[in-house]
Amino acid sequence: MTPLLEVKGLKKYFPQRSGLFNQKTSYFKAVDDVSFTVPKGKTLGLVGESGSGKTTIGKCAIRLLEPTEGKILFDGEDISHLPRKVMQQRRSDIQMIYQSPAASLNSRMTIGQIIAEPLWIHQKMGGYQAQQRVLELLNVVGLKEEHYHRFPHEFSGGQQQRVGIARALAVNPKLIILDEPTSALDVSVQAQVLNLLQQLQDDFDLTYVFISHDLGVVRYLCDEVALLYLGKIVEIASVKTIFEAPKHPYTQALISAIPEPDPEDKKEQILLKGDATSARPRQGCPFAGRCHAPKIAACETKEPPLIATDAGHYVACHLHTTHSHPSGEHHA
Amino acid sequence: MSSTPLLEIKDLHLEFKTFDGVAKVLAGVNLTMQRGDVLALVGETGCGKSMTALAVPRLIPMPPGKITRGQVLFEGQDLLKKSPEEMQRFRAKHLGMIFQDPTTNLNPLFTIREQLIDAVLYQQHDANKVPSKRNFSSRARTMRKQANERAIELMNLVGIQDGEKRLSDYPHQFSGGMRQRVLIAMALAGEPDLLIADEPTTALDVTIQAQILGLIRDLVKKLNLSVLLITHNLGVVAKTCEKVAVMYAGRVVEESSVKDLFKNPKHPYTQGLINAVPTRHTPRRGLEGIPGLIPNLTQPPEGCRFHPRCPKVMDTCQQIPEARRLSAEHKVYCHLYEDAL
Repeated sequence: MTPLLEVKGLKKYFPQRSGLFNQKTSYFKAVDDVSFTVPKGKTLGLVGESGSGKTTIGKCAIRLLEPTEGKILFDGEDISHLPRKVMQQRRSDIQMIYQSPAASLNSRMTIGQIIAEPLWIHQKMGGYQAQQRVLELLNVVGLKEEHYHRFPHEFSGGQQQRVGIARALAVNPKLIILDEPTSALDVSVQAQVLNLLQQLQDDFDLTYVFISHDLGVVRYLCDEVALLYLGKIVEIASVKTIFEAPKHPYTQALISAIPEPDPEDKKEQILLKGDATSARPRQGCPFAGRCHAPKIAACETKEPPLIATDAGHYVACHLHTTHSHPSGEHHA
Repeated sequence: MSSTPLLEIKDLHLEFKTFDGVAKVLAGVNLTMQRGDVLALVGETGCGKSMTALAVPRLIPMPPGKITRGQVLFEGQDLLKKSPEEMQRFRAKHLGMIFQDPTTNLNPLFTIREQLIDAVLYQQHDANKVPSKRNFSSRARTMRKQANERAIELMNLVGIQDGEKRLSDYPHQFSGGMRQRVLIAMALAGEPDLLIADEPTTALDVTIQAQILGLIRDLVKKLNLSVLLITHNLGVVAKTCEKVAVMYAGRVVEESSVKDLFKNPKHPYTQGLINAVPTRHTPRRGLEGIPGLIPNLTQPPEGCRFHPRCPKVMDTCQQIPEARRLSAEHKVYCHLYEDAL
């Protein structure tokens, strides 16, 4: 079975300009050679700290940003070089939900207009038909019919996010990219939205790419998790493996740093030194400057490739690849 | 308890005038802190946790804000009765405060040295005795020199490597976590008794959050600080604090030791809040939210403000619940329980 979304060797470099004629002097590698697949009906979590490139990957997958290099296969079709017009049609299959619900809704449009807009654009649906569909969608996401004529500012954050979800659902997408959909919400509201997302996934057979920095939420919602560090995937595995047997030192540190709401929880906390961007060494493993694991010579000279250690478990760390699996298969 | 508590907030009522009417933001907050306590104030958006914290140093803008009733007692003296000048002196000597966003609290046009030295000078001396920057008398120069030494000491205290050199840097040359460390250094300049931290790690990544919380824990031990930590993150509470007060819609609903609260939450709101956080024990599809929305504070519900959303609502919930003492450390404001002491 072909996976619904397959990303191969995705790169996104942003030029840094400076000097007299504003020449491109260097490139900021926001996403550097990232590959992953998302099977139909599953949820992939993209996790990382700020600046790790998780949002850039999401935007490249839907081509809101043009990838510098790499392929994006959606349902087997390469969409990375489709012309604008064709791509726009494809976007009815791929929708996105954003972090800040208030900023992603037009404050001058009513809820009805906001949710109907994708219907006008993608399905040329209008009038009574569109109105009926919007009312149906309001019902699906747990809002009321009387909300149709209201404006975004009249709603709470959680309700605004429901409007964002209804808008994404309007065109019956197959894949939804969720960019930190609950980080602006309170926990009790976050729980409501997470439950709604799970419900919708069951009802409409949706596939999610869930971008988040909150490992607790990822553990709850995702089937598979990819951990990003400075634009690269350092570990990718099923949710269970990542949380119970993480291999990459960064994953271990990140999981140990989640404050569990349990005062009896006595797990050892690994404190990382410094922060990602300033501790990045010129060569070798990008994590070497903050790593707490015993270093080997290769850490400072060679970038570790992402290599399979077990079935479905890929790690980019010399400690796990050089010793145990010298002939490991490269993740493609 | 025999000794006077470090901080005692008694029946604090705060109102804000808005276009929609008067918002009753705080409606009878009661809170007690002993010296050496690390107390967390937890709640969701709009529950009044920041307002309670700001009421202590009297930083609430008035008007539109107005404290209609209540007392804020610091070692027995009522802060609400102090004159602005007395209050300024008091803040410099006894209070330190850090906020959520470390970037907006530093001036981008001045070096860390200038800002930190100012903090030291104004906290160690009376405001009218601090010399102006153009004053080059020997007294002013000694004061600045001493303040500079204290600044270096503070940079080392909050764990900034190369503290002396980094004093000459501007805020943009620091990362988010480092800026928060600088702000902690400023707050500690006058050796305060109480540090008020309003969501100090919300803007930071988890690994950096772990560093900052570790620093706060260390400082508590080293300096015998008391900390009032405001947060919405129950994980942070469990990791950092010993005591906790849960707030909902302008009132404290439960006060307890952290251990007891997580093992044995009593108030239905606390129970809902704890169940809403996904943990490693939460089964798939097992997360429970709290149904409904937080009330509009211009027309808050009568009686217990949680009763319209409460799963265990009764007739008596129309009345404001009194504090029920379940044990020496555990207090709950809910009609479901009886006094055990």
